[in-house]
Amino acid sequence: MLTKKFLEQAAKIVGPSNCLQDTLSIELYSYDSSPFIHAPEAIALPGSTAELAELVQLAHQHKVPLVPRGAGTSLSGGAVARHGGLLLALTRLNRVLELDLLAETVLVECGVVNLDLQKYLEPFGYMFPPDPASQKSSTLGGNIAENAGGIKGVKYGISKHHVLGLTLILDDGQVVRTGALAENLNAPDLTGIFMASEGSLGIVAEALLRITPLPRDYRTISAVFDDLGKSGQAVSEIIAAGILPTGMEIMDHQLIAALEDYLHLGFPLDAEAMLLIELDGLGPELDRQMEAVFEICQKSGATGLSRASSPEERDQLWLARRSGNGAMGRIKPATIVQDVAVPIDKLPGMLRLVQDVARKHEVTIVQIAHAGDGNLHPHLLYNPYDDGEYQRCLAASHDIFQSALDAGGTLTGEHGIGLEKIDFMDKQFSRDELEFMAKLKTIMDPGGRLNPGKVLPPPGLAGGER
Amino acid sequence: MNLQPRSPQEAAEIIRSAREAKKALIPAGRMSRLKHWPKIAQAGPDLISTAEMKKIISVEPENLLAIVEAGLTPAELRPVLEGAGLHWPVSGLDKRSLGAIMAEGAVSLETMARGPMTDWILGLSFIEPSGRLITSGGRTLKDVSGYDLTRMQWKAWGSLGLSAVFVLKCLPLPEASKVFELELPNGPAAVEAAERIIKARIFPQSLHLLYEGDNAPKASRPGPLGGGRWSLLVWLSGFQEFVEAQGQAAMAAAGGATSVVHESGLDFWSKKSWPLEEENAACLLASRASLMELARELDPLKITSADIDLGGGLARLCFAAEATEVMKGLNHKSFWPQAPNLKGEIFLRLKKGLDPDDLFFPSAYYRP
Repeated sequence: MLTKKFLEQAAKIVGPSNCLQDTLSIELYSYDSSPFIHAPEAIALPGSTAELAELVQLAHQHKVPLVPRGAGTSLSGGAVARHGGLLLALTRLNRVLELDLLAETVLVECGVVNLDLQKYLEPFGYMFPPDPASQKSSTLGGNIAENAGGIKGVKYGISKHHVLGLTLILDDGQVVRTGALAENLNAPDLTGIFMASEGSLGIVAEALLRITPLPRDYRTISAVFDDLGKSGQAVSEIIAAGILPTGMEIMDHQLIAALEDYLHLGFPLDAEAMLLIELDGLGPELDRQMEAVFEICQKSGATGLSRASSPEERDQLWLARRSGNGAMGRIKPATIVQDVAVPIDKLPGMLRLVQDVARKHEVTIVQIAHAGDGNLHPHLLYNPYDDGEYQRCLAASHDIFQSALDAGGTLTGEHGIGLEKIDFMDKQFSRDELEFMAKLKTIMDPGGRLNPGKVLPPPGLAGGER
Repeated sequence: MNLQPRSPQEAAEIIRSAREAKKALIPAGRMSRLKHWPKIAQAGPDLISTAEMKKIISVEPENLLAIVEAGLTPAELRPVLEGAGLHWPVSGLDKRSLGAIMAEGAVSLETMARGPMTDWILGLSFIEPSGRLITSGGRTLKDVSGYDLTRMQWKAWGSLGLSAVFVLKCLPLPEASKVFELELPNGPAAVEAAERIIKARIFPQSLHLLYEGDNAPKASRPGPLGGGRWSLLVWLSGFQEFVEAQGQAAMAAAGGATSVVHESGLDFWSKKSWPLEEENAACLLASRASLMELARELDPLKITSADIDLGGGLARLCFAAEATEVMKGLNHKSFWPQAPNLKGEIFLRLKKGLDPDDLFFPSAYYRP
């Protein structure tokens, strides 16, 4: 329970209008994009790194739990206040602090929205490659906390590959700088342990990001298949042929139908799967790669192949892919989005297995996948007023987790453990590994106040033997 | 004593036994750089070396990965990967073990385009200071389950654990790989050419400014270059068309400088001998802007040769005079490979928490 004194001091740091305690605000900040709902006791919106550090120091003195939050687009419950406390809404920290084109870096505050940064960089001929589906609203701090990926992951990697240094607020309010932001470049670089730590080891205030020249040219291909597994096979074959597309995205027949209903793009309604492939680089090299991709898709059983003939057509294809989550609302009103990843050669089998899971549990599962990096996003659709269906979706999710682990994969590729997968951590990690991670958490956050209840299972879950 | 376990399990056993006996252990790789550690050589603590842990466990081109033990060197790995049509884009560090590259945070030649070694590790098994074998990450290209412990070992000089097995993320072997060597009249002109190449948004694997003084040691001269000249090395790799077009663009951006094209980039770099092993040589870690400033102001009377890696943020310098004296004058903060700088709030917290008795690479051996 937050004391009156604490709240008064917090309001003094950020200003009364940025310290929220009213019922409506508490209700609004109880959600993220997951099914989990947990109310914070108050919300503070710091306007600078100094204010954020002061708040964290105050919370340290009063032993108050803290939940850092960007735009609240976490799909795993990473941004909800499981144990109450003070929610730190970091959206006011939204300044681009410094662009250095010679060094090809940009220094940003954690609340800068991903797409806003892309728009800022574009006139200079640069991009920040991670582009999660939530990029219109998700913040860079959130992208770092979850190690977000996106469509371009195959060629350009994910958030951790583009973060050179961080300004962090530790549990006691101390401000430290890591990596390329550290005073001494020769000191150990511990930037990496904060990536995907979901704000549970320290709070990211600023980040120095590596920026990448925008590609000169693109080729965007759509391939249609009469079997979902065949589309996965084509992905494996393209990688094995030494071609590294910017992205390879699979959409199943249910999503194709929902998107066609929504956007009217002329998608083939009789297709079982569509594979979107994008290549980027220079024109002549792209034409040769495109020919090879066409050939591989045909050999893998593609029933239709086409290339976007104009930038507008390309934009439409990607608009369709990015509209997937919204379009699914036409099928059922609520969704659990899974995020397992498997080695690329296991992708075709995993896509088929998810179909089997849907049949077994009698639930609707729409499949989208960042196929090029083996990251599946099965969307389990349900009616929130039908508890039986919701429970069947949970059971189906558990089967998907187990199947991914059996295939040598992981519980989550880019959405994070959050609250959602915490009970399965002992299926992926040994007792020693969980204990080591818990030790790390205790070292960095001895009071257990930074985003409590996330990432690591409670001590009772002992971890498996391997 | 030099302990050389043959497997991660044996290494874990040794570390556990040492812990129980409260004996200090110093982690090492192939021990190629032990001469830089006089304190260790003099005091004689036990070394635990991965020199005998150099198995290639699997190479999986279909998954763009290879699983290898930490004692392996890039030079040993490369031919096996090339046979499978793969490339691990961490170059120029052929003689060091993978574990040592990780521990030192050594700068790869391909940092400009590909980032540091840590960007090319999908998973790592390491033995933490109390002797437990811990695995983080795995065989998937994306994985955010639990904390990313792979990166904890970066530049920590083995003081937070001994790297044992790596899952390496690989790329398809590039179809073409060429180094364009552009001759420039002086340092400022070389810097200006490099700036123009960056501004032209050419995407090289690496961009090096090279100075060869008349009295430069022979071993430090790459390729056909003689002494007393500046050049800019632009390494491009990828599909044939990309390399050719970007090479032409780089030469145009550099203002039509005389050029030599080295047809095999990887061979060129693997034959290159760094000035690092020479006497009066040192490395300097700095921002790209600082390195450019260094190149502009470089005094040929004091520096006999320089290799300035603008992508990796590293200058390798050979001096005519006593190195430390000249370096002081440069007013830069970060040097390498002098004693590691194991400092910083987060590192000290981790070290104290994970190794409370200070037995695994005790601080007495790395503190100056």
